Amino acid sequence: MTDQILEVKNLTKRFKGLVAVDRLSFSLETGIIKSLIGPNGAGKTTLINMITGFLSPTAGEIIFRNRLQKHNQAHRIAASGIARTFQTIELFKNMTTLENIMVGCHLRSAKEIISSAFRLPGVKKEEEKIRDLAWHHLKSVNLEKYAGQKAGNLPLGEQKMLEMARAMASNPSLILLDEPVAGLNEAESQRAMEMILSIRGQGVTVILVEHDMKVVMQISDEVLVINYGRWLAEGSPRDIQKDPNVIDAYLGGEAIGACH
Amino acid sequence: MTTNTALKVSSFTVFIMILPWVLNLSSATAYYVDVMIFVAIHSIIGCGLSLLLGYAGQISLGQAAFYGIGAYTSGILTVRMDVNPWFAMAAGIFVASAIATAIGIPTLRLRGHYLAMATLGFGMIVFIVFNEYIALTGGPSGFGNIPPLSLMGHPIESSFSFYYLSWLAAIIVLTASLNIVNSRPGRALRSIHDSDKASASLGINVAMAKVKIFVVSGAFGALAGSLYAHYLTFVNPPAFDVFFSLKVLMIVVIGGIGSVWGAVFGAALLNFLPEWLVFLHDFDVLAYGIILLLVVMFSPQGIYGLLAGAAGYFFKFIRKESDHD
Repeated sequence: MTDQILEVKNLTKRFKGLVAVDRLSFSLETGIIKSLIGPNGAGKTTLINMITGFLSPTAGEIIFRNRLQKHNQAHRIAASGIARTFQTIELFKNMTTLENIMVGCHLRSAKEIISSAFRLPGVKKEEEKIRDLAWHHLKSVNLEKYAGQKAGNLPLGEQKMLEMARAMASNPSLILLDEPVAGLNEAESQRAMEMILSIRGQGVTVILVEHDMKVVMQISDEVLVINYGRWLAEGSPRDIQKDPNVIDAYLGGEAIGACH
Repeated sequence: MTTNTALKVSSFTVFIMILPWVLNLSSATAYYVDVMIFVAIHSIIGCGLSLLLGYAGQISLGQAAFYGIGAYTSGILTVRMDVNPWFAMAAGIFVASAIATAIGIPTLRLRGHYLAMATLGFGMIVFIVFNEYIALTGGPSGFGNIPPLSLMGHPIESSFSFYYLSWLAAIIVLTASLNIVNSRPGRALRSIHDSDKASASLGINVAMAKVKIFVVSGAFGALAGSLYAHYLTFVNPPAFDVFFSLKVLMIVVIGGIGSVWGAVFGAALLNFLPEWLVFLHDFDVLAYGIILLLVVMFSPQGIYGLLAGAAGYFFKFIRKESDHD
């Protein structure tokens, strides 16, 4: 049996009559990039929000690292080793680029208000550790030159990279990227793709939600297609492109052709 | 603390240490020492609200209640139970922190302005208790004979000695606040202000972070209140009504929300302005209002923002000049 990091069983989310995710089951092998695709409104972001604790499921189970996720708060899920980025970029706009990543190191540090207020022993050392870690992650996305600038002033491509670097700073074992190349130009999306591959290279499992089929087909190890919140198809990018159900329901012959 | 911050705090400390000697040179300015004591006390309570409002983005309209709890706990314990004033001060801070925790946990989980409503109500309840629980608080007439704080057997009673005590407390509070802002818990708070979703996704317990800083603001309020009680040696309810809560809010907003330094500048302006406007007699309130309005209209960053901007411009100018040489 292969090593599974995540297992989703019969997951369902109902919003007042609308079923956003409908009895969805799938599993995720450790160390791969799995893309989640489907038309707008297919329930991709709802699924991500449930896995990361931002929404609680109506029914079903999420098992992360052999442990059943109790559907509690997002910060606890983060502490268990799941990081994410957001479809609408959620940077700390009024903080500097470096500080954004320093907040990303929150889980790898522990000092609280009273020890920080009075600079009790250990605070200085931990601050230095956080700063070093943050620089390391900043360099990994080549954003050193923006270190002291407010994150809100960065160009869009850099903001997306920063958001990924910040999520990586929390040292996750699973990362969920919600449309990381949306709105980027050719060169920027190339860089984002390299970043995603390097995340996998560091042994972190990736769930990628993306509309750009070229990116999905190029870097995914597996693809899961959902439609109306239901499982539609699952397999390698090559299989998915040939799958008649997928072609019918979602991609359309032309879109598939364009990917070859 | 960065070297820049340390430099600012130490220069400010030197300024505070010298100030009373300068003020005492002239009999016209000697009483400014007393005004400065209130600047210190209001800076302490202002720092607490500045952390809550400026960094966590939460409004409290009940800071006067914590101020009152600090003052009354100090007063009641020392007068009625003969407790050591320092211990009474610590007890006041503890009681205020416990109450802040009890109020903060249910209200700070909610989004929006629930904390403002809850603290407004809380402030009114506490005010009513001060007025009505006569057996304990002395009711509307309050009570006096609160003993002064003392150091190694010497009571700190004179304006001159209390000036140094209150500013020692204020500078410790200011330093602690700056330290909080520039470290892990402070960054977490600032991040919540920008995007609580992203903060939670990075493992920050958003609700608890807000509760903790609310407790800090309550503790600072109680410390200020206790200093007030031991300085005046008398407490009665009007000092702790909703208007004082609004004054603390004004101190923070007028001083400048973006920095805890703003609380110190705000406290100075709101205490000295009425003194300087005395010559206007009945029109002083009008002038006071207009000046505060002008500050808010033309410098949303408050006085601190105005001064920081001016200082930046000045240094730039000096550098340019020296480049020519």
